Amino acid sequence: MGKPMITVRNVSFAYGRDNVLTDVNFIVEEQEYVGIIGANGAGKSTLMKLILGQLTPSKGDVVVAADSVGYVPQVGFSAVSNFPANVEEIVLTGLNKEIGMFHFPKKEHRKRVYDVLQLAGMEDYRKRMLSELSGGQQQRVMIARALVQNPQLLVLDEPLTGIDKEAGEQLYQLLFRLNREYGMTIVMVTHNMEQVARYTNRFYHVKNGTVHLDKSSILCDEMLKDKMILSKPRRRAPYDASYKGRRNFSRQDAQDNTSGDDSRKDAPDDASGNDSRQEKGDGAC
Amino acid sequence: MLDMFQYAFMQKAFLVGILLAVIIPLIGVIVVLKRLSMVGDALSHTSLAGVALGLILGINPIIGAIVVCIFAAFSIEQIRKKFPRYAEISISIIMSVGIGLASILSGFIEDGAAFNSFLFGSIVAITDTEVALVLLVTVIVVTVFLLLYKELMFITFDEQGAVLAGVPVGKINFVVTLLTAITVSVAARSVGALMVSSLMVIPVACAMQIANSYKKTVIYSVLFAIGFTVVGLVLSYYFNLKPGGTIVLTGVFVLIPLMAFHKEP
Repeated sequence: MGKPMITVRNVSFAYGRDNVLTDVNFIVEEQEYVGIIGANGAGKSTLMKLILGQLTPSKGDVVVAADSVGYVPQVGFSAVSNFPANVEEIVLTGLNKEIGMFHFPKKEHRKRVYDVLQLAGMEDYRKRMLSELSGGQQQRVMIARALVQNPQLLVLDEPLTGIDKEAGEQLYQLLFRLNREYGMTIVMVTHNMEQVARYTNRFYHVKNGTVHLDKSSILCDEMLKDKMILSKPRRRAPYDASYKGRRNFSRQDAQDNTSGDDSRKDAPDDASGNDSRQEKGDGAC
Repeated sequence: MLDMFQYAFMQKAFLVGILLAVIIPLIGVIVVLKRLSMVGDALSHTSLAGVALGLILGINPIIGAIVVCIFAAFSIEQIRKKFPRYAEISISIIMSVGIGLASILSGFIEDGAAFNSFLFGSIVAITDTEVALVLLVTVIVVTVFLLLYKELMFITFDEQGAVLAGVPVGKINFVVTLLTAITVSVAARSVGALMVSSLMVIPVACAMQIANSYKKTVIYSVLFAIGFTVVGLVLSYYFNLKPGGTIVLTGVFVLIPLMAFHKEP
């Protein structure tokens, strides 16, 4: 069993007199990929805000054992998607804390932005305006922005909003890869049950103010446990500041490396979109 | 064309006009991208109440405008927090209060011409003290904008993300609100209270049509504003027009073709 990354213990939360969450308990372990699903207004965004520390529970506690948390907000709204900035400028905002107040980005910061855009498959778009990109590409940029700060935990809020099915599939594969290859802990808040069931370790339902584990996902979890990296990441992330290896990582590298390692054969193919879990005929897992 | 520079008032007009053309769009970029374009309008109308108050009390009207504007700007922020999804409500409320107050107070002013000069500006009748004040405000606004350049961009793009990243959003918003109020008050004297907000929005709107980055949006906004000011002042000198209105309309004449030829992504 891995170390707990997020521990939500007996948490209740109310907006005024309206109870949104009541006595919620769950744990997300290191290197897990967990989905939180529920209908609009069920309380999943509240739960996400509690995890991010934007809200304080009225009862119980939320412990996040990550030094840095990458947050990917919803895109597809005009306020974000029409902002007059290019991709590089947007991703650089992810390094704001590291660059420091009253300081300007250095060459090394721009290099890290390039590396992380390469990982997200967006390096050719770095001088393009955000408004010129499709919804899926904008979401990749937002993921790159979250990744550039080298977070231990990635939290995504409705990543499929305003994105077509094909772009959504590519996005899920990127997240899947981040989890499988780099051991990143991912929590994704969404109402898209189908994709969550395919890609995550397990998922929780938020309903009527309570959170419960989806029983079918427990089965998936057990089946996948031998395939999941619950001990250590398979590779160091190229966007990691402490990474001393090759910096000119490319998607082709990832595919080449993957092909020589039997333990990674279950990772989805970037180009084809195939997933071994599908090949085994278990669509739900 | 250089003959107009033999007059000291025209030299001052160009100096003050260009300084304001640098700082108004810097503030404009922030308010436009925060979807609060009408803030400038609300504050400039409210500044008239301050001008009236200053004239009644016998103090410098610009000081009166600054005090009232700062109070109005923070009131907008407070009301905005009460209606987070309807930010424009706060602007409408403060604008109504400002106009109502200005109209009542204007009835008590003996020198009506002095009050009217703030409505449409009097860039060619600026005193040395006012030049010094504009210079001081310019230095402060430019310095703050450069030092907080990336934080301001972060906040305008994703305020929630900026809070998470540890950016002191509250403090920076406080500084921006303060600078917006001061800039609007100082500019009201020169280009006119009724036209400050146009100079805050039109150059930014022009820049957004052609820029391919945030940095260029900021630079082009300032360059457009300087261009409009210079052309507007020259036209107003030779055709005996009101400078404030000429500057703003010059901007509009540039914006229209830019919008017509700009392709939506």
